[in-house]
Amino acid sequence: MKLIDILKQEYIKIPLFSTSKEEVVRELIDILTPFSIYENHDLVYSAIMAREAIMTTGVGKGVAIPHCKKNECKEFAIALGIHPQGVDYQSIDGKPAQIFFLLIGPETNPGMHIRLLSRISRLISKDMLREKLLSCSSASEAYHLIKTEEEKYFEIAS
Amino acid sequence: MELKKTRRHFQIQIFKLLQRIDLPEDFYMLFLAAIIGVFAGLGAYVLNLLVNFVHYLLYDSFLNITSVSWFSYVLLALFPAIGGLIVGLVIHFFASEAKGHGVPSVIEAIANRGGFIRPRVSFLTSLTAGTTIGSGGSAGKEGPIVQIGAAIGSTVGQLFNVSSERLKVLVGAGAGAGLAAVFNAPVTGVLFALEVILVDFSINAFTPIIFATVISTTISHYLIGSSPLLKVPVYYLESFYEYPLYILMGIVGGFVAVFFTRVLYATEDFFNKHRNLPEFLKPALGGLLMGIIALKFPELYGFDDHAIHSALLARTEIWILFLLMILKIFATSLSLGSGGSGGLFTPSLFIGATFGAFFGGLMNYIFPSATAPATAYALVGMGIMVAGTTHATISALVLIFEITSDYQIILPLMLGTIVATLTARLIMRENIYTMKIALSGEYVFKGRNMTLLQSIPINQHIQKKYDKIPEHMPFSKILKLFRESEHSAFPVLDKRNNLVGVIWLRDIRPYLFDEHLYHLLIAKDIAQEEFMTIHPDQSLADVLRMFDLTDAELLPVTERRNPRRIIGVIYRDELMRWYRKAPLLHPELYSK
Repeated sequence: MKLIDILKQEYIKIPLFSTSKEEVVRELIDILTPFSIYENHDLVYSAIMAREAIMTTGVGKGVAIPHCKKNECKEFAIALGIHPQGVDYQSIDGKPAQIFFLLIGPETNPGMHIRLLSRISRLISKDMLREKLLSCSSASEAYHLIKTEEEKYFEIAS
Repeated sequence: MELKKTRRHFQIQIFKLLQRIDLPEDFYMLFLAAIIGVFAGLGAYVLNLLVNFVHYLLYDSFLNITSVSWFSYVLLALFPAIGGLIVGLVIHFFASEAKGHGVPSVIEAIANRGGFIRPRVSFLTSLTAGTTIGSGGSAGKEGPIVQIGAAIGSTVGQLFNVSSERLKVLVGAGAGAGLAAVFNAPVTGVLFALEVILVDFSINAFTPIIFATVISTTISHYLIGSSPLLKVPVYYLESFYEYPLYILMGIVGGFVAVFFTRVLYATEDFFNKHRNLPEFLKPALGGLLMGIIALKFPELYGFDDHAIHSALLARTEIWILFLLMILKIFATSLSLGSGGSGGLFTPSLFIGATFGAFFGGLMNYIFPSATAPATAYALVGMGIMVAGTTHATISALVLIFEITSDYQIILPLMLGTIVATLTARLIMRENIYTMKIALSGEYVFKGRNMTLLQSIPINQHIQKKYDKIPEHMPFSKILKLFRESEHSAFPVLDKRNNLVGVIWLRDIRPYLFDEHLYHLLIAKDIAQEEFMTIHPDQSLADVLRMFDLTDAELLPVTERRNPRRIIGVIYRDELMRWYRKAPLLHPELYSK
């Protein structure tokens, strides 16, 4: 499995419009709502915010990776949103976050949850990719950018 | 005292030598295994000599004294009884372990006494088994030689003061080496030691057992001869339609095996219940009854393997085969159930060969064009019966190869032995060896005394002080904990000290050096939220079984009414350390 198997082009939104952390999370979840990955939008939102309350997933360098494990989610899915202006996400470096990867999935497979987070953070740690993503103006552009970048990596063990 | 000091000095010198020349530690065990192999090979030879000597004394010399036919008839019936009387006296006065069919007492020594067997057992078992079989008792040499070899292994281990773990391996090496030598079947010897005696297939156990077996078999080749035990024509599968027949044969064979086991223990029970009969007379009575049966069917004598040959060569009528099968079950039960000393492999081979030939004969009659000769079924029948009685599938099928040198019948043999083992296990949990231990009120599984473990509560093994991980702990701190702690699994608790998961080293191993995750993950993200727990009212047997099942390093102990409320944890390593030392530190638990 690769990230792009669960990060479909329809799950990418450029640009995001929200102005606060809470709104960004809602906006990201809304991207996935039409695809029947979960039934109760609020449950997923509160799980994400509960996780953020423990420790921020704003990992710095303009990136945030909000995530949760919840059996409400039938399968793993990733949404990507780009916010060119940036939002205050209480990131560890104090800077606003511009690139958001939202990862949701069931509780039953923590191993996969970690593997996916590891792949996302590894990809996005590259300065070049972050810069290119920020200059993308469409979902299709961002999707192909990630697809090309991920070709250098092995499949993620399922 | 002086001798003990010299021995210890010798042992230390060997260790120093091995360390100096940088040889793997296995070499020390191989050295001990070599000694055991030599003595086990010689033990098999001596047992053979004893059987032949007693047989010669009674059936060749003594019988020729009289020419009156009715008197020689009476003598024939009396011989197994005379053997029984001698055996009864030896057992009564010197060693009760030398009674019966040998293997259960070895399994029991492994499970309860860390492999400790009294040195005298090897000598006395040779005597009692040689007398029982030589005098005509319906039993084989393999049970006693397993016991003799095990006693040799244990004695060598005790002399060299090895740990309990190594002592068990040496007992296995002796048992395997003995069996291999007496049957001229080295691979079976190795597999039997691993599958039945030790129930351990680890590489540490393999090497010494193989080495001892090679040496003992070589010695027995030189002293006894190297031809296969049974010479049979080449057999084959006539048609693929025979496979269902072999499955059916495995099922029926499983039932016959259980019947044999039940009759054996019912007979033993019968003799045990009659307390007014002196103990030492019981094997004589068993021998007498067996002798009377054997008057009409001399094939039943333990030293006689003509019937197996006849069954394998289709020289006997089908109804006689059936009768011989039933009579052998009763004859063996009388010989061994009354307290005589001997093994069950050869009787199982006999029962299996006659059963197989009978079954094959019937199939030839019903499906004449689609079935191989009945003799092919006799061959598979032997494997089926050994597997059905011992539940040792691999040993059973390899044994048939080795004693017949016939590879052609492998597929039906594999199928038959597996079906027979499954069938016998479905009907009865115990095999013919562990049944004896079970009847004394103990259930032994995988070399562990489960009855004892079921009676020990887990309270004293619950660690109340243990390293725990709060669910909010960041990944970087979790890694620090893993590096500093001696444990490789931790329970994860929430703010109210409720158990929410467990983190295993094996789950996070791939991410130990993934710096990108250090600030992204917390304990809750990586904890396994579905895991097994144990409750304080459960027993050690439950805990060990659960550790086996889950291969976990740790089990959280939680309240039965609230499975999130953690009381403590049990670490597998610590429990196994205690279990290995328990027979030494807590002998009161093991004494009945």
